[in-house]
Amino acid sequence: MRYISKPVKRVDAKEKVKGKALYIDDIKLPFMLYGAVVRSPYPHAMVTSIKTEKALKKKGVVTVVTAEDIPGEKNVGIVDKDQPVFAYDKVRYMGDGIALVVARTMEEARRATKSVDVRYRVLKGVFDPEEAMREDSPKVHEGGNIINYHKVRRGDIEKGFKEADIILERAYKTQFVEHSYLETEGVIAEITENGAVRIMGCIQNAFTTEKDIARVMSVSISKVQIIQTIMGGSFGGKDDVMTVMAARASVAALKTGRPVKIVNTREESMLESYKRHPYKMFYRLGLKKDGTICALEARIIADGGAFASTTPFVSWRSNVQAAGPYRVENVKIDTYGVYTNNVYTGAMRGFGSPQVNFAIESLMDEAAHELSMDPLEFRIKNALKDGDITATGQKLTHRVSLIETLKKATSASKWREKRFSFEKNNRESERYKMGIGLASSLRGVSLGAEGADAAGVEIKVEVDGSAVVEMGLTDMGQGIKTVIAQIVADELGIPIDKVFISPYDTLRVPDSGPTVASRATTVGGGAAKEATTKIIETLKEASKEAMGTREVEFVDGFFVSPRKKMSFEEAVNAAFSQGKPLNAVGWYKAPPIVWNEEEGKGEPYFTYVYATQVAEVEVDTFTGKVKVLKVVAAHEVGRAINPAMARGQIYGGVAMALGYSLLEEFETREGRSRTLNFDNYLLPTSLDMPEVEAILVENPDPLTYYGAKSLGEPTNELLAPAIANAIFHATGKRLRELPMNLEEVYLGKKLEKK
Amino acid sequence: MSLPPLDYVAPRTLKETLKALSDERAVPLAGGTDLIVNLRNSEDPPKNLLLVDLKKVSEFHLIEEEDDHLKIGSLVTLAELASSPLISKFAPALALAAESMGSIQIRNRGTVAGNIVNASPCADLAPPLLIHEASLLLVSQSGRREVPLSKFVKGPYRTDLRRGEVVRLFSIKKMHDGGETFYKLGRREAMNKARMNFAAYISLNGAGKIKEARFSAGSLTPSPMRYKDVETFLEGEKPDPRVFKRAAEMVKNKIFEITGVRWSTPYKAPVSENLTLWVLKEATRIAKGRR
Repeated sequence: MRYISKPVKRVDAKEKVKGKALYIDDIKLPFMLYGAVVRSPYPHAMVTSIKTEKALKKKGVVTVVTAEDIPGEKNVGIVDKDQPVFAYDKVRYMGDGIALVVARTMEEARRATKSVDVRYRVLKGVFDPEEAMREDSPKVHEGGNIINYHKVRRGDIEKGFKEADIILERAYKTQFVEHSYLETEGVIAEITENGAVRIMGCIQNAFTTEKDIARVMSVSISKVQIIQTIMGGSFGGKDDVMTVMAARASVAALKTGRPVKIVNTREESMLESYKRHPYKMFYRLGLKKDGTICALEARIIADGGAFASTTPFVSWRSNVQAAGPYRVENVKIDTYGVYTNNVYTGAMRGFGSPQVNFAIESLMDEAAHELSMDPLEFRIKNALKDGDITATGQKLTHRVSLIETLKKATSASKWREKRFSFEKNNRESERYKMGIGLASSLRGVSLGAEGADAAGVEIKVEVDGSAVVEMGLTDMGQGIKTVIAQIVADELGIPIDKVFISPYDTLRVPDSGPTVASRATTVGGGAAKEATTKIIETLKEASKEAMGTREVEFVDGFFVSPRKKMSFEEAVNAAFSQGKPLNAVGWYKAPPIVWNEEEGKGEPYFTYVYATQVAEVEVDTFTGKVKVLKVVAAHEVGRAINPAMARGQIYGGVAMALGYSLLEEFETREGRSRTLNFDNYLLPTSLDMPEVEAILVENPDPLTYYGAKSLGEPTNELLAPAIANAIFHATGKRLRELPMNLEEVYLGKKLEKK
Repeated sequence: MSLPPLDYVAPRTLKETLKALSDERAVPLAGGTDLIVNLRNSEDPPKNLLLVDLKKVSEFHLIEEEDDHLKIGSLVTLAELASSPLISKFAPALALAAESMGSIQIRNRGTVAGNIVNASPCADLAPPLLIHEASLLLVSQSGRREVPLSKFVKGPYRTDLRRGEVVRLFSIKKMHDGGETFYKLGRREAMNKARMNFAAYISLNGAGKIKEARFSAGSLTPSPMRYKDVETFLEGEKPDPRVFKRAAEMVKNKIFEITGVRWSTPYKAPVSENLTLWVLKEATRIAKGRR
């Protein structure tokens, strides 16, 4: 293989570096109008009237669009159709849009939003998910505030705790986090001459969006075309928020007969877009004196905010991964997703794992401390191994790489040596204390029981031997275009610069479901391989016919018979002159999974990846400032199709998780936020980044093509507990709330703002 | 939002500048890192503004020695301040403060006068300027006046700058007998609004006792300030931990006498004390190294 497993350069690097890549904000269509959203001044209120007369008289204003202009369904949503395109009866959070002012310029549209006269009857809101669960609390939606309930049951929990010598009860809490993609949300919608809806924009999951647009616009799905523009980051964040935006623009395009563009300012983006869920997690852990975990109970509450969004799926992943990568015979986990009048929450890199990993991996350290065991020894003792059974009752049939990642990460970070030398340093140093901590995880690959898990790739070979690839998976910066180009080039035996990945257009590319769950390489790679196999089969037939032989093998880019051989180009020419089809669709369907939601048992994912991250910190005990000095991250990936990009994923995931651990918090009080731009919402800077050592552990999975599994999300789910554990090692303070900011590190507990 | 419609002039001489500023629509523009951002964000921006860009006036860019003082032009950028040999020699705390601010881009743009005239409680240049007894030379068409920094800043985002007036330069005392330092506490390593910032200067006499002490802090009170009681207490004392501990307590008490108890007090009280102690020790260490 010339490209697979090699650090091939990104196929889309050049246009991005040169500034030639066009993002949605760069695109302007003839006769285009601009839309600006009128948003709610209250987190919870009935909308009693909407008067647009004044706004319509403002300079440049063409029209004002409200829910009344929607030709079809008024609500959208990934799981439940509970989110209005325009709020028509009530507003449920501060980001809710009531109307869209459409004007000749963006500026005119924005200015006129203040002239739309909306009257409200303010309702009491609910902002704490535990409070929202109570019967007598205000209802965000008519059906009550529980979005979903999931559970896991294994063994006999009562018996498990009876056997325990030590029982730990701990509560952990996490915050709202913004994806902070560099490019804010943007779309252009227009109605084509044949009545189809054409949408351009930075839409992560175009096939999810197109289905809701068809419902809202009351057209068939075949008449919705979504052209994905180059994505300036997403991290799970440009999913349903884009559907709502695209729906608003489409309704406005229908009403005006002209293309309508909407682009969020950063403040609008922060206010409107969904966040990573804050969790409250209550754990009980039963331990035997020898360090065996005999019982684990958890009650997990996810704040879903105003709409269900992906909360049922996010919290389901949390639910099945809440016991961590350990052998536990007796398990009881109850997980709730709850409506509140806070900003809604949904998909973000990690998808329910960063929260539960913070809890379980902090708890594992607390357990080790209680038992006077080294955290590494304690984990190795309880770690899942080949053939073990997970908390949900799944027997692991692949190579379980957990202990390998533990050993590689701790060996590279000189764990034992540093545990000792840091403690010695800390006895002598007055101000700065050093600590080293680790965290591990297992993560289910791809969608699991969320839904059908399949993808298609279409390849068309041209007469000159070059290939066009139509792929229904999104490159949002993670590099799937490059990965697929590597696979296609290798399987067809052609240079990678002869492979062109076509722009993403739902009219052409196969519906491959959403590009989420770190699934693109696994499922897209499988589909690409299938498609190339079909092409090669056709070319073998063509070359047999051309060479007049019965047997042909495809070796090193040549079609070889016992006496003759043909190059790839010659075979392609032969196929063309023989009238054989040189386009093929490859389809990959993930192996089946089994999940019993009633009993909370099953095989939720067909395979898993494993990882360990080790963090070294220096804590300034005068101020509570934590400096992360070094991170070693060992990730099992199945097989790295592109090791350079795989390392890049690790560096990026660690950087993002650094913010989650120490700095980032979308603050909200009674549904209102002041962290609406990066002056108050603090991201780490390049100077905050530690040295990161990335270790790729490759144990190819028997169930996937090339053995490839997942990496994007696992890199972002471990640093917070590793840092919390390192801070404990440095200072003896156990921090159970994120972010671990100056105040919490100094005081040992969160300082509430009043 | 884009900027509101406005007029713009960029005079080349002080005289032209003062004439332009006498227009009642005039607003002086230095680096623009606050002004332009605020204009863009304003819901109701002022109409018919006249921006008077000060950058092209050469005398606003000087850094010069004059006897026992340094003259720093109002438009000297943070980057220039951080890299100036004169500043590093006679006011190293000021160089450290400038270096700690924003990002490279902001330091290339932001100016001394901008940082002070904006009068944020956490202005990083204020503590070192205060210990150097900075004064501002303010000029207008009707004359000139010199105002000490401690009197110029009237409160959060309020100053004594009058309509038609511009800061021509800052004059600071050269200090090179003792040791001085600056310390800023921020949540991250760059692009920080200070949670606290401190400047301290200590010189020692032949007997090893504190000859002169100066101490100032920002972000903790409505405006950055010097703690003269603490300085008086320190002078004549031996620079030992017990003395610094007492000084740090005095600083803490003074802060909370001014601000009262707030949500952040459980953190700010002990940490301001810890850091006061630390900067006093650090300034002493540098002073000892000089002898």
